[in-house]
Formats: sequence, C-alpha cells, structure tokens
Amino acid sequence: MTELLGKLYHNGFYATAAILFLTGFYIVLADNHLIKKVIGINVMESAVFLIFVATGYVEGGRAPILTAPPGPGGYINPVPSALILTGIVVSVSVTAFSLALVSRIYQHYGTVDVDELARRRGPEP
Amino acid sequence: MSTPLPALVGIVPAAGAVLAYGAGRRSGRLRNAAVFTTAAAAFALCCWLNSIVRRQGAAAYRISWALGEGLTFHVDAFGAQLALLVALVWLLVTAFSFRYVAHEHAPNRFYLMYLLTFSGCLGVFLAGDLFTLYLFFELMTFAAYPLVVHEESPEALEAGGFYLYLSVAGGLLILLGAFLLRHVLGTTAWMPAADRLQEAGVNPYLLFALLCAGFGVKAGMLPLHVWLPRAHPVAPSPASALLSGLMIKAGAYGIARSALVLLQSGDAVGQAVQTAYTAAVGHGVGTFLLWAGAATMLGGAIMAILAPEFKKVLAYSSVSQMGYIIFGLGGAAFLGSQGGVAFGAAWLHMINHALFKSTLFLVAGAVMQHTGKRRLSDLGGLARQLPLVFVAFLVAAGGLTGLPGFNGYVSKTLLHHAILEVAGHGGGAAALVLEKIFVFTSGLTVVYALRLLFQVFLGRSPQPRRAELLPVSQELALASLALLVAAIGVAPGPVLAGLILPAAKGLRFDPHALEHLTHLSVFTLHDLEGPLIALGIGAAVYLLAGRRPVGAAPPWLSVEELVYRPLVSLGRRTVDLARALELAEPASRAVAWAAGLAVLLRLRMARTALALPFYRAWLFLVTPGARRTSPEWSEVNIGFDLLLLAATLMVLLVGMFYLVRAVW
Amino acid sequence: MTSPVSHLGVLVVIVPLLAAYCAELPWQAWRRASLRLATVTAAAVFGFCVLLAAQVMQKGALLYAIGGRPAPWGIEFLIDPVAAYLLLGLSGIFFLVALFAEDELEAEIGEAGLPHFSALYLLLEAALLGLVATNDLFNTFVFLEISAIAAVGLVALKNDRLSIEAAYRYLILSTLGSGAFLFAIALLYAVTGHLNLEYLKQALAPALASYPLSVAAALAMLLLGLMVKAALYPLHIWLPDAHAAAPTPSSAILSGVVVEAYALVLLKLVLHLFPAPVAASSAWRLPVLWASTAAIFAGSLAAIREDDIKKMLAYSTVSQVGYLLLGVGLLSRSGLLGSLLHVLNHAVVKAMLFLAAGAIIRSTGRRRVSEWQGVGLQAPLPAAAFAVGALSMVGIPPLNGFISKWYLSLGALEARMPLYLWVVLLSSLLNAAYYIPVVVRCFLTPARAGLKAPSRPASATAPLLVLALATLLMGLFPSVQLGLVGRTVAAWAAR
Repeated sequence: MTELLGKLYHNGFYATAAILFLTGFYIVLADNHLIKKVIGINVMESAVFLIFVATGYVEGGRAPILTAPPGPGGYINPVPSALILTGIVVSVSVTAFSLALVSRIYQHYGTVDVDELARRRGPEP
Repeated sequence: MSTPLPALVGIVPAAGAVLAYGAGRRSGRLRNAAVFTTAAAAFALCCWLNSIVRRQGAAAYRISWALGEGLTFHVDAFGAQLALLVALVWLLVTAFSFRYVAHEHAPNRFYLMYLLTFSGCLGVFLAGDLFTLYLFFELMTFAAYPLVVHEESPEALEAGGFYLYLSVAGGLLILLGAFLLRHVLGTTAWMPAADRLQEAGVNPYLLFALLCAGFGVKAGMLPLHVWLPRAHPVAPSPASALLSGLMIKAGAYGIARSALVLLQSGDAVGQAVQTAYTAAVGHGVGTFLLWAGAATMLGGAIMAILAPEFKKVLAYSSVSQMGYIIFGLGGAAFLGSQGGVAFGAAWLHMINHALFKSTLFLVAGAVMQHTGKRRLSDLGGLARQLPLVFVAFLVAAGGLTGLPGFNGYVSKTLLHHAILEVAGHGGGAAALVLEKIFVFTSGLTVVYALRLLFQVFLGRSPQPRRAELLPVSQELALASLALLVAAIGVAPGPVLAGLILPAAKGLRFDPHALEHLTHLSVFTLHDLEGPLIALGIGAAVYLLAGRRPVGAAPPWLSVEELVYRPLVSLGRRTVDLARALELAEPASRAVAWAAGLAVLLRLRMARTALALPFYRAWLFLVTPGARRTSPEWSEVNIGFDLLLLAATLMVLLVGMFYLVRAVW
Repeated sequence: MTSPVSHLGVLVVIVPLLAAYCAELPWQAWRRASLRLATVTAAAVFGFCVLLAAQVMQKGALLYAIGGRPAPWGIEFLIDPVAAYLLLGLSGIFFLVALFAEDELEAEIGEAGLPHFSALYLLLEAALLGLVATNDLFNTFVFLEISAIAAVGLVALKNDRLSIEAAYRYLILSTLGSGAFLFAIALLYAVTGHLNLEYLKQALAPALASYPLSVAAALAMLLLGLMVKAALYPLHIWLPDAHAAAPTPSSAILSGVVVEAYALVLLKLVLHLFPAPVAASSAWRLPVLWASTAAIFAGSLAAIREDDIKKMLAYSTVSQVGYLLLGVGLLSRSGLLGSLLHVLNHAVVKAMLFLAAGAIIRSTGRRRVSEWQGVGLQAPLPAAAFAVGALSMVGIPPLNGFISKWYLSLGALEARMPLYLWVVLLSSLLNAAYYIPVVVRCFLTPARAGLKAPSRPASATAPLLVLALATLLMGLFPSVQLGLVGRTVAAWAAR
C-alpha cells in the first residue's frame, strides 16, 4: 500500500493529469450549462498540458537559461514548455471563440441552459 | 489486326449525338439530317468493320490511357455481325422516327439520348473485355432511361423507376463478376477461364450466376423481366422498337459470352478446349438456361395473351421470344462442342427477333400515330385504312409465329432440332418436357398474334379515318424491315452459311456439327409439322378463350405482385423502422436498442441521480438540432447514449491506465 | 535557398495567412474587395502549387526547413508526390469556390459578413495546406486547431439560430478531438523525444519494444481525435447540421476539403509513423472497417429520407468519409490507392454538388428536393453540374467516383476481405436511391410554375464548368493521379 502511494506520489503529475482530464471530459459531456462546457474543455486541455510539460521536467532541474548555472539535476527540457506555450495560445483562442458563440446563442434564445434551449426552440418545421 | 475502327464505331454515334443536339437548337430539319447521317455513317462503318473481320478473323484495338484499366475492343464475327444488325435496324428505325417524333415534345433531348443509346448498344458488341462492355452497357442503360420516360407521364416515370433500379442493380452484379474475373485472371477479357477459376478455387457457377443475373435483367429473363413490359410500351414507338428489338439482345449476348466463352478452359494460346470439367459445368449451366428459357417463353406468352394494349402485347412477346434465345443458348451450353445447331438457332433467332419485333413496334407506332389509341379494345378495322402497315404486320406476325416462308420458322425449327439433340445427348425425359413446353408456347404465340390481327386490323373501325397518311420515309422503313423478314424466311441458306457459320466458328463448336447446320434443309415434311401443330393449338385456344376481351392479368400470375412489391415494401419498412429507431443517426440505435435497454435496467436505481442531467447535456452535443423536436426523451435513447458515453470513457480510461503503467 | 522559387513550399501557407489579416481591414469600401482579395490569393496559391508540383515531378520530394533550421530542431515541410498532388487539388478547389463565392455569397450573409468570410476562408486554406505539407507532429496539431477555428467561423457566419448552435456543437466536439490528439502527441513525445515525423518514425520502432502500451494508447487517441474531426461514424454527429447550416461556399469547402484533409492526416500519420506491426495490426483496422461500413450505410440511409438538399449532401459526406477510411482499413495497395484517389475525387464532386445546389436554391428559391420538378429547365447549368456530380457519386463510369470505387473494390479482394466488395457495391445502389431521383426530377418531370432563372455571370458558372470537367477528366485519365501517388502507396502497403 505504501509502495503504491509512493508510486502515486512520484508520478503525481500523471495521476493529477488523468483525474483532471476525466473531470474536464465529464463536464463537457454532462453539464447543462454551455459556459461550463467551455470550462470543461479548458480543464481537459490543462490536463494534457500538464502531462506534456511533465515529460520535460527534471527533478531538481533549472530553467535552461545559459547564463544561469544548472540546478542539481541539470536543465529541464525546454521543448515541451515551448510547445505548451503554443498550446495555451490555441486553447485561449478556442475559449474566446466558444464564449463568443455562447453569447450569440444567448442573444438568440435568451438562455444558456441546454434543456431550456431545446424547449425554446420548439419543434423544427 | 489492330485497327481503331471498333473504337470509332462506338464513338461516332456519341459524337453525332452532341452534334445533333447542337444542330437541333437551330432547326429541326438540320437535326434530323445530322441524326440520319450519323446512323448512316455508323452503318457504313459497321459494314467496313464486318468486311475486315471477314477477311482477318478479328479486329482489335486498345486505348490504354483511358480509365486506368484501359478500353479494349476485340471484335470477332459474332460481335461484328450483331453490331451490323444493330446499325441496320437503327438506321431503318431512324428513318421511321422523324415523323413520329415530330408529334412529341423535347425532340432534341430524344435524339441526344437516342444516339447515345446507339453508341452504348454498339459498344457492347465491340467490347473485348467485360470492363469495356460494362462501360458501354451502363451508357446504354442510362441513355435509354430518358427515352423510356420521354412522355413524362406518371405511368412512364413509374415504369422508368422499375427499369432504372433493376438495371443499376444488374449492372452492379456484372461489375461484381468483372471484379472476380479481374482478381483471378488479372484481366477481364473474353477468354476461356474455367481452369484458372478452378485453380484459384473460385466456383464458376458463382461467376456465372452474377453475370447471368446481371445480363438477365436486360434480357428480360424471368423473373427479372418485370421492368420490360412496363418500360417498353410507354416509350415513344421508335424507341420501343429499339429497346425491344435490339437493346435486350445485349443481355442475351452477355449471357452467350459468359456461358459459351468464359466457362470454357483454354489451351496455351487461349483457344478453347473441352475438358471433363468444362463439360460438367456446361451441363449445369445449360440445364439452368434451358429451364429459365422455357419458363420465360411460356410466362411471356401467357402474359402477352392477357395484355390489354397493343404495345404491351408486343413487350410481353419480347419476353417470350427472349425465352427462345436463352433456351437456344442453354442448349448450346448443354451440348458443349456438339452445340453448333443450338447456338446457330439462338443466334439466328436473335437476328430474326430484332427484325420482326422492331417491325411490329413500328406498326404499333404507325397505328398510334394514325389513331392516337393504344388499347386493343379501342382499335379495329385498320387493314383498309393502312394497307401497307397491314401487310408489314402480316409479314412480321408470320415471322413471330414461325410460319414457313418467314424468318421465325427457320430459327424455331433449328431450335426444335436442338432440343431433340439435347434429348439425345443425355437430356433424357426432362428434355422431352422442354420440347412440349416449346411446342405449346409456339401455339400460344399464334394466339396473341391472332388477337392482334383481329382486334387491330380486322373487324369494324371504331373511329373515322384521319387525314394524315404515312410519309414515304416511314413506308420505306416498314417495307425494308418486312422484306428482310421475308427474305430470311424464303432463303435461309445464305444467311446460315454467311452469318451463322463464321460466328459459330469463333466459338469452339465441333466443325462436324457446324457442317450439319449448313446442309440442313428446314423445309422437310417433318419440320413443316411444327408450325402446323402450333397453328392447331393456337387456333383451338383462340377459338375457345382468346376472343373475349381481357382485362388486367390476375395478380397471382404477376411476378411483380408476388415478389417485387413485397420486397419493395419490406425495404421501405426497413428504412422506416431505421428511421423510427434513428438507425441512421446519431448512432446505430437499431443495433444498440436491446443493449441500451439492458443498461437501463441495471442503471434503474442510479438513473434519476446520474443519467438524467447527464443525458440531456450529452444529447445536446450529439443530436442535430432539427431532430430534437421536443425536450421529452425516451428511455431507449438514454440507454444508448449512456452506452456510447461509457464506451468513450472506457477508451479514455484504458488509455490513461496504459499511460500510467508505461510511465511507472 | 535564395531564389523565391525555393521558398514555394512555405509560401503556400504564408501567403494566405498574411492575406487573411489584410482581408479584415476596416474600411467600408474594402468589404467587397476583400472577397476579390481572397480569390486572387487563392489563385496565386494555386499557381504556387502548380510550380511546386512541377518541381516535385522533376526532382522528387522537397524538404524545406523553416527559418533555415534543420530537423530535429526546426520545423520541416515535406512535399512528396502525394502532398504535391493534394496541394494541387485542394488549392484548386479553394480557388474555384472563392470564384463562386464572389457572386453568390453576398445574398446569403450580407455585405458586412464578406470580410469575415474572406479572412476565415484564407485562414482555413493556409491551415489545410499546411496540414498537408508539414512534417512535424506538433505543427500538425497547430494547423488542426487553426483550421477548426476557421471552419467553425465559416459555419457561424450566417448568424442565425441554427448555424450558431451548429457551430458551437462543432467547436466543442472538435476541441474534444484536438484534446485527444494532443494527448497522443504527448505520449509519443514522452516515449521518443521527437516531434519531426521522420525522426519520430525511426525512434518509434525501438520505443515500441520498451513502451508498447504507450504507443498503443497514442495510436488509440490519435485515431479517436482524428475520427471526430473527420466525422467518421458514429462520431459524425456534428457534421450534418454544421454543413447544412453554413452558407453555400462554406458548405462546399467544409464538405469538400476540410473533412478530406483530416481523413488524409489520419491516413498519413497512421501509415507513415507507426512501425509495421502496429500499422498492420487488426486491432485498429477492424474497428475502422466496421465504422466505415456503418458510416457508408447509415449515411446513405439518412440521406435517402432527407428532403433538404444541403442536409442530404451532408449525410452523403458522412457516407463518403466511410469510403475514405475503408481503404485505410483494408490496407492493401489498391485499397489505399482508392482511398487516396477518393480524397480528391470526392473533394471535387462534393464541392461541385454543394455549389450547384446553392446556385439552384438561389435561382429557384427551393431548398426541398421534392420541389425540384423541372428545375433543369430553369437553371440548366447548375442542374447539369448537379447531375454529373450525382452520377459520379453513384459510381457511374467514366466519372471519377467510379475510379475510386473500382480501386476500393479491388483493394477488398486484395486484402482477402470480399465482404467489403459487397459493401462498396451495395452502397452504390443506396447512393443511386437518393441521387438519381433528384436528377430525374430535375430534368424529366414537367416543371412547376416558378421563377425564371436570373442570368448569372461567368464567375459563378465557370467554377461549376471546371469542376464538372475535372470530374470527367479525373475519371477518364486516372493514370495521371496514379502516377503521382502510386509509388508512395506501394511503399505504405509493403509495410
């Protein structure tokens, strides 16, 4: 048991990412609130970012700035961090866009609740 | 010999179609001239091709850049002569058509499709492999469709639907056969393939079944004929003449090639040789074709007697006569290398039927043009009003019923010889049953011919004579066709020696059996018994039952009622059911229905707590807006969507699990 | 590296990207001109692609290191013959659709929407061409996201209830797919330390031995992500609404190019990247085959009962995606050829069908197929183009749809799975069941009393004519395409 907990501790990033990913995924699918779905997407993507950055992390490492001395573990791998910066930018734009869409939906229907939305639309011709 | 001539023959009418359409937008006369020139040019090219084939045995050409596979033309005597027949009849019908079409709407469209169909029809007989044949076959099918529905009446559209769907399905079966051949042989050329199929472990009967069903649709083979008696009568008469006279021959040609060429085994140079294996396959295939032909001829004749309209009688008669051709092909396949006479009979009947049936349809066209009526009960006494048409009818009916002196007599007598040969070569008692069916059907043919004679041409005329007379072009076309019918009937020798023999030599029949074909005199006392018996049966049946006007055929006789309607309604109901269960979307609910229910039962406790909010939110993402007609939801849907969701989560969870395991 | 010609590979992405920014300039007078800018840019990009294809034909595959930094540190574009072939086809369609949009679009979204359309359109073009050209996994992800945002924007342009809602749903599901895709990238990077496809491929073979489960999970996530984006059944749920609600030029691009590009990325990554035992494993092939079969039938069945023409075409796209991935699942030489040919064949045909449908709707005001009696006489050219496209979809020779089906069927036999031969042929019958009645109704039924068609300028008719001609020529001369893609496909199938 302690061994398992120890393993979990040492792989905390991955375990957290797994939990976050599923949480986000659940929110996207299960929540009735359109904005919360967007939040779910964000949570989910954070999980992926976490995993990605964690692959480049070195225990005790420092940021790879050449003028600064390396930490006890040397430098951490900068590539994942750089990539994730891009990923975050992408995620931000998707979020902004979906929020804009939600506000349009609100203009059209006066609600952002899925059930309410279906009720207000009524049957299609 | 390699010559681009076959490709040219196939393409000239298509090019002419475009030209004629362009010309037609300026003036009708210009268009007619273009159409006639095209038909004449195609005829001349076919004559030329024939002379080349006669001198050199075959003409071949390959266009390798087209369509990946390349188009292959290979014309032997069999194909070249059929192409010549097509071009000849097409030319005559074209001469007839101008006045007729002048009464119709959209003549430009008619002639565009008319010439495209011509192109397709010629190409089928010139193709050197199944792939090329399929291309032209489809061209023919689709170009003929606007001809069938030309009137744009609901009746025509319904008939056209039958025609189109059965033809498309038939075309796909041919394509399946082509894939099979291509996969086993690496080519789809018409060459003996039985031993290679055997090596590859492919059942030759499967190949034959695919091709026979595919071509059988076009040939009007029972029970695939249902489109024919609907589609042929509704088309304008010149088109019906071509559909019934020529186009269905493409089906018979395909069956002939598959049964008599593909299912042989070849020697090193691709020449067919008979082995025990192919003899056995030939027996099987031949027996099937004999019975299918007999059923088709008998069924078609019965329906022809019961049909209420002039052109419907002719269309059913086409079904019946195609039965004779299939019957002959069956005999040829059954007898193997001894099947020369049977093949000659089928082949001659293909020519004969093309001639007399197109004459009869043109007669029907002339009658329509003159009276505007199509039901037999509205017609009568036209013999005096249209004397030349009457004579043409008599000659063509003579050919149809097989009276001595007309062309049908020769081919039917040969067929009779063939069936007796089958009986002598292991056909046994079954062959004698077939012989009786054959004779009885000939009697029934007389019955419907008599009905036409009495109800259309004799008796009192119900309407006054119209002012319009037949123009010379139409009279000439009718007269030429009738002359050909009579000429073959009076002097069959040159036709047998000049046409049938070279065609049969291209296949693998025993020369001795072919020798027999040329020395055969069909005018012996014994052979003359045949038409007498048929006349006797026919007159008796006609006097007993045939004179009364008949209504529609009883439904239990109609294959359509028995097979197709239930099938179609089953199909519709399946789609409806799929719709009701939303099979099509958002996911295959029909399959998941039971599973979803099971999940529901297990989740009953948790449902209100978990499933309800979850479900609606999920539904929002997965269901198209237009389908979500109300916020109410059914339990079935919940079950299924939960299943889908669970599956997705499982995939993700497993992925995470693997990830954690791997990194540990 | 100094002459501008040597930078062609990256210009096809950069030029539309820059032009996209210019399209949004805020002056009133610029609104209409922005559409012209889109057309001109698309034409220029098409020109670049022609030059590029000529170069590739001459010298073989081109490798371009962006910023002069070679892999594995920099980002690489790799233009092999397959990529050149697709760049050529996709940019051609972009150009033609833009030409069509110049004339048709304003009626649908109003003048104010035009700059947005142009900007999103060019952004989409840049992203999709980049997707085809890039040789870097993370770069693929970025282009995927850009194209997703642009595509969703094109759906939302109409700004009515249905399209906004469809756009939202599209965006959320598409982002779910991207999440899965990014997850797969993280896994692959974790086990190999590379993002460049070539290096990744070499490093994956040893990594497979040490981390088989990670590689398998990456493959699963990759497939899941791309299947959502390519709308493979049953993950197609966002597609019919989004494609039907978008304005006509958007629908043509979404159905004709976007979905195909995603399917192509799937094909490229799975076959190129993963080592042979994984790529040939039936663990993913069988589900893909089943899903494709279900897509082919379900899409057709849904389309049969659909009366709204654009929705019918959208469902048809669902079933065509099934064909695209059927060949991938079969994994035989002819099957892959069929898939790869079908990418462009379907792109051309579906773009033409949507444009023709849009033109017919505009000139007759009828969106329901059941009201299309005699439309062929009122709008002869669009109806004729529609007929050509419909016959090609059914697989009538000698149109290009027949060629794809021919190779797919041969592929089924080569893979020793004759069942899928039946799938292809039976589905042709289903396709016929919904396409042919429309054609018949257009041309062979008496017309209803209705509007007289307005005469349309050449810019709207020319794209239809060119696409119809391409449909015919691609069917008649498939050897040109086969020559371009044949060798790559043989290399894939050999693995």
